[in-house]
Amino acid sequence: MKTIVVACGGGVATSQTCAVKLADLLEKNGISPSEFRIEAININSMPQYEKVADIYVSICGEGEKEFDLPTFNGVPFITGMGAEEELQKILEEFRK
Amino acid sequence: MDILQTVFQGLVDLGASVFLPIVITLIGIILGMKPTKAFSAGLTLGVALVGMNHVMSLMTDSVGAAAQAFVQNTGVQLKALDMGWAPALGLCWTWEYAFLMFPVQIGINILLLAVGFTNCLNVDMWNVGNKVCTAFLVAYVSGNPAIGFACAIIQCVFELKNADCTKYRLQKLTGIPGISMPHPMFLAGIYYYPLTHFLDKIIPDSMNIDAQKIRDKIGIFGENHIMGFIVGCFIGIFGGYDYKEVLTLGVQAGTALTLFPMVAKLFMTALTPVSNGATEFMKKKFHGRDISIGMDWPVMAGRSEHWLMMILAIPVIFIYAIFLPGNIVLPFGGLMDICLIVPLFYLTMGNMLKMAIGTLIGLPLHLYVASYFAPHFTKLAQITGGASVPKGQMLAWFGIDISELRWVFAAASEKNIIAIVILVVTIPLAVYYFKSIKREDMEFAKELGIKTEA
Repeated sequence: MKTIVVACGGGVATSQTCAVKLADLLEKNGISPSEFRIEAININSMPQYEKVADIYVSICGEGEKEFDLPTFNGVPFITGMGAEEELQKILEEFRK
Repeated sequence: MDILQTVFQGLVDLGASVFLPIVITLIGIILGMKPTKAFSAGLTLGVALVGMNHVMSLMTDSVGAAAQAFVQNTGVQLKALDMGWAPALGLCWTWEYAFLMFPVQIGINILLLAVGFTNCLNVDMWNVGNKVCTAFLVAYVSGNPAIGFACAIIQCVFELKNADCTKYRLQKLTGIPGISMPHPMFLAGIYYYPLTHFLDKIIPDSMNIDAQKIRDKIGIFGENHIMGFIVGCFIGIFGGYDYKEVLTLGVQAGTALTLFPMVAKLFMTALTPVSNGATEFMKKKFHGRDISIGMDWPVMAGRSEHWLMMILAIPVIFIYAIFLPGNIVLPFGGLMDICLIVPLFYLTMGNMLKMAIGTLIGLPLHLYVASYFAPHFTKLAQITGGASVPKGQMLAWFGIDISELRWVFAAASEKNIIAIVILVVTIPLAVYYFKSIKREDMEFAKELGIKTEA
């Protein structure tokens, strides 16, 4: 069971869109819904989640603080461009 | 036609929590989803609406009651309780014409891309709710939904234009190429640009502070449960509660602020299939063309400047709320004034000093606009049953996106002389804004080493 967090400004719109899409893609790539938990959160709560999450999907560009977690780019899942490559990276992390 | 009308009215009369799941399920099936998945998405929207209703009741029962005690005890007339953006936009979806805004926004976007007016493909479907909000407010003030939709269309057009005129600015701030920012709140630049431009002249960019360091220390105050607890305790103390009641209220207020986004994200879960379908449809239409993808603002949310400024602004908001004559809003759900501070960040490129000056000027305007619209949001909650409002109390939304513009349009339509004067002044201001922001954007493009045509 891996916990993935996606953070945005409110944990409502952008992060949740990204989370729903990513969950869908993970399932389509043979990862069972029982193997992961994906949560959209408010970015201000990241310090709390840093300790419990396994993977961080960031939708923020430059200027963000680095967290002590394997971090991936969530923007491609929203724009649709480059989503496949980023998904492969996340899948790789999953199989570790 | 009559039969259609009857069937439609019959569906609407079922109430938003039954009617909207049916709409979403049908849209899902039309977009080619499996019926079971479409039904699941539809039902999620119903769950979101009922859930929001419950969290709103939790807020009005606990914080609302304390707010009334606060008014009685202190004599400060803050009778409209601020719910913040998550429930407010959720409430907008309960308006009976809300879902027509999807085809309207997508249609306008496709049309303007086709004629080359814009290069922005807006995939941010959450903020369709923001156009619904404009349409509802105007429809309510004018009594005519068509005028409401007309204003929403104007908003769509200007959002896209603004996205075009600021895309290199966004790239400089985020490092991400190929995206742009059609969020309506950035149109506030029409009014704030002259100020920030003036500040650019007198304050050198080197006068800034390291926001990250300070945020690491006080960031905890930006977490919803902590913020809610503190504010709840304050309202309780000034409401004359004893210590047990104060602490209980604090926890309840923290609960409301934590649950708002949790419930609001269900709206997004339900809308994602619709947004996927719409995005795919639009992308296919403009395959191969050089377009920028319009996104919601959180691509900039990693920067600390916003959050630090929003946290620092909270005590100032309360001072203003209590002492400004004519303000009736008790800030609660919208304590983080995103729609003022993020546009200021955008205009000043994250200079804290300039943002602070802009914030001090903008906060009172946001409070007055929230006071003005409080009866409208209260009415929306009452007619759609989206939330129950106790007698003698109102619901408000502090920090409405483009507060200034929305007030100008609404008040001008009510023949308010000041608003009409400002409306006339807005036209040259808008021309000046778009010209200047575009010129600055070209400079950013040059800095980034991007060749542009114009």
